[in-house]
Amino acid sequence: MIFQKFFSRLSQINALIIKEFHIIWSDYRNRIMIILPPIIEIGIFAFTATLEVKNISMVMFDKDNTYISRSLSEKFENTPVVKKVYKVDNYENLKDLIDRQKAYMAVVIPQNFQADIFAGKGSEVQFILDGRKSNAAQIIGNYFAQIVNNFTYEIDGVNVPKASISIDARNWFNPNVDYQWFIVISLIAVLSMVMVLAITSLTLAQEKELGTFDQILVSPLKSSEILIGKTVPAIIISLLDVTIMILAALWIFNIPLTSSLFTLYFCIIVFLLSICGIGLFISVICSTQQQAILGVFVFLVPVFLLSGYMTPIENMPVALQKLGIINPLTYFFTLIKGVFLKDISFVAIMENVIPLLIIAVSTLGFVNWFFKKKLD
Amino acid sequence: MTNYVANITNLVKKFGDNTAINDISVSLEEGKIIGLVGPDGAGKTTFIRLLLGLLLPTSGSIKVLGLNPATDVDELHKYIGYMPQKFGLYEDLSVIENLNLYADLKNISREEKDATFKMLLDFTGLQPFQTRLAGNLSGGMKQKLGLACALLGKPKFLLLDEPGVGVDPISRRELMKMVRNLAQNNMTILWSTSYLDEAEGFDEVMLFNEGKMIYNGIPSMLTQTMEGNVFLARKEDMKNRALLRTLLKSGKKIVDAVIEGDAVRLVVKDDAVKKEFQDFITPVKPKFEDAVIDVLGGAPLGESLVAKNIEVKSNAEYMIEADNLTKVYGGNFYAADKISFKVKKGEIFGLLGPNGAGKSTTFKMMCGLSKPTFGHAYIEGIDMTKNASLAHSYLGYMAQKFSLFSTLTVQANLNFFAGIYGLKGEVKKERIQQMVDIFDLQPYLNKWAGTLPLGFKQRLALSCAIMHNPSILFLDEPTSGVDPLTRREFWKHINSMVEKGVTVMVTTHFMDEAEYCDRIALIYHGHAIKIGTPNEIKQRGETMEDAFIRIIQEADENKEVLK
Repeated sequence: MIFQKFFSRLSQINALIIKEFHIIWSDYRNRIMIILPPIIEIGIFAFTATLEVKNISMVMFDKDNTYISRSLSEKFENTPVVKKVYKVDNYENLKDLIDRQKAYMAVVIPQNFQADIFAGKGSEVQFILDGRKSNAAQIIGNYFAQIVNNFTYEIDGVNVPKASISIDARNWFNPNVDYQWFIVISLIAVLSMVMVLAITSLTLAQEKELGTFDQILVSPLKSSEILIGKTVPAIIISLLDVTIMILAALWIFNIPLTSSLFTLYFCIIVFLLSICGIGLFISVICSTQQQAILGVFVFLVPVFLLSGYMTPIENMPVALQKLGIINPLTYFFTLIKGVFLKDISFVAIMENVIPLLIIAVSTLGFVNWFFKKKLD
Repeated sequence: MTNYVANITNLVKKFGDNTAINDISVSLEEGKIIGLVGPDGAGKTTFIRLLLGLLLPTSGSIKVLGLNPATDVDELHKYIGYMPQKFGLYEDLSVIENLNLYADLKNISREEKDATFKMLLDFTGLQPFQTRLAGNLSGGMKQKLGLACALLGKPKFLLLDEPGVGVDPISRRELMKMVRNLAQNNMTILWSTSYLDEAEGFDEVMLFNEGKMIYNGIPSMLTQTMEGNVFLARKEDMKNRALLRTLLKSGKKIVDAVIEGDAVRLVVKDDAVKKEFQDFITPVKPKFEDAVIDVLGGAPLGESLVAKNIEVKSNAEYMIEADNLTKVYGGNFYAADKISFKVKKGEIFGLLGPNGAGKSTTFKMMCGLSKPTFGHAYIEGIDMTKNASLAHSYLGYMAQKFSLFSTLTVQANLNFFAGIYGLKGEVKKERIQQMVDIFDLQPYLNKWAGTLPLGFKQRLALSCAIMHNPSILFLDEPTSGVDPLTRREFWKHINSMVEKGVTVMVTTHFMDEAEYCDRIALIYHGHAIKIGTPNEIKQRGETMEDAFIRIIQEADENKEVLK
């Protein structure tokens, strides 16, 4: 008897879920919206939007033009990231090249470079970096500083021995500083988030506009069942997209998966639940699709900016950093990068999963309360 | 000499294979209110759009104000006012901002604006609501604002496409009065409508059916043709509803039969039938509607099969009960104030009232879409706030504007609604097939619900509401915008279910529809100011609409009632 009742309720929820798929699938625009983004974003975004610095042009102004200065100059020219070197003999030309963005950076080797070094006085090499490209400039600057350090070490060996401090940075978990890894993994997170948000917030707002939501509220379905009927399809569809992207990550980009697939999907589902709650929350407080779209943007932009995807969280004002504790994307970035790249520990998983669960329970709880109360 | 604002000769408009306007020739006289009447899909909107130059004719010629709409659109639009079915009011702008916007679009100079706005606001009575957002206006006020916007730029020719849909009778009368004033200043008005009682107020009507004009002239001339053919039928031993059903399925040559008060209004042309019925019919004065139904080929006869398998088991004393229902918004606005009524099994209970009077609020609380601040709503004795899920399983609900999933097929809609009401397997298949057969949905099964003609949308919405054999039906303006023939068919189905013991609660703006109710509650300013049978509500010789307006006016004069 109890079982019978249970199955009867299940079939009612099932009708809700099937309807949701039907609606999303019936309009070709919706179909495109679901299938295309993962392909486009993986295809274009991951290959083009790179934080890596490659193929740079530089200016070389060697005032000394001696054996030592020339061998330093060669060191720069022979690095794989440098594609083109403009050799100049005056500051005007140098300035011109930088101004016209022909080159990212310039290296100036002073007069008496060789003489000063042999005299044991030490010398200085000047880097001029294009501050308009601060990110790239910073990376190249660091890279070139390393070249100079190595060079100092080399000539120290043949000349007056001198204690010199060298910086040796090593990138763990992504030893070749392959930014594609970082971007593809982040994209999985960002794209699945946008997908769930769009599906949950728009479908409910649309039903409110059409008046069909009233119809559902007047049916024998319980509020929790309506909630399940809205949540499950959104999560299934996003999981589909996520799976496409995970396959691409593993097979096309050869990103290692250091933890288990099970852990990966567990984290994803928890994350999607929390976003589902937020999406439904947005649509519950909006009455039209237009408002829902705006609501999604209001949520997305800060969440994206504060997640540490574009700029490190440590560089933000403390107050904003504190806001990060309610940002689901921050937790999920830690989780998904951890699962893929560093075989994240159980404790670390829990530290990030629990906040996500709290977000999910509180938002979904509110939505359920709203369905129950049926405010007008 | 008579001046004509429009001359139309041999007008034809085809959309693919579908002929929307079929060889119409007519001249519209200046300074007249001309009604454009006909069922859905008769070509009314197409005709208006052709006159405006928004569509090009397939063949034939149109001259409006001496201009050809196809070539002189820009010039023509200077002299024309147009109010489409859904007037494009910006809901997030205030009344005056909307006026300003449309004035700018019509290039009205700043100096002219102030005087024009003042005149229009006085004229429409919107003066006190200037700063209110258009979205917060009642249906009637929205239409008035739409009319005001259409009147900007002093048009010579005003075209109104169904301005009365979803508007209560009081606002409709006011709208008509305003338009009458305009006509006296030599403006010509073309007013399309599916409310036939409106048509009696026109100077002239054009009756369209399936793209053809089947009558053109003074409404009373058409009404006269029915003289001696209209009767009220009463039988001692039979309730009006049972009598109506018997008459409709009798197979006799009947033109039309509808409920009126405690009797059946019957239109019969055949002398033999008149003779046969003479014991229980008494002649009455014909109405325009009687004649239109006749011209359109008569009401749908026969018996509804909907109720065949219906069986209402409940033995609750009252199927629906409102107990001091009160809804307070913002602490001091009483949208509904201590509304109480009880509805017995097999009764049709109507909620009537002007737009924004609390009718919808009451309806929403009854079906659990809104929580009462105080009081209770009971469905078969179950408190809606305590066990909504169980109460809802007894309910069939048909929402305003036939809320269906417009991008789902008819089949998918049926599957969905069967599913959420817990129908499964064979039973589900059987019930869906039954609905498809009864409502002739077969040809539309794989079409999107949003693309159906209005009448079929209504049928689909009704099938979705009754598939699970509910013992109670909630209908929220179920026939809004639907033509009289479709409405008759709809009520035929409802009546047959009520005969089997289904209880119905309905809201409506059609006063003739209110006649179908066993009892009516008139809701005004959040109070049920009158509850009774249609005959108790009407005074001697009054129509339902007259009674409605009288009671509201009495309530306005006697503020005590509202306190």
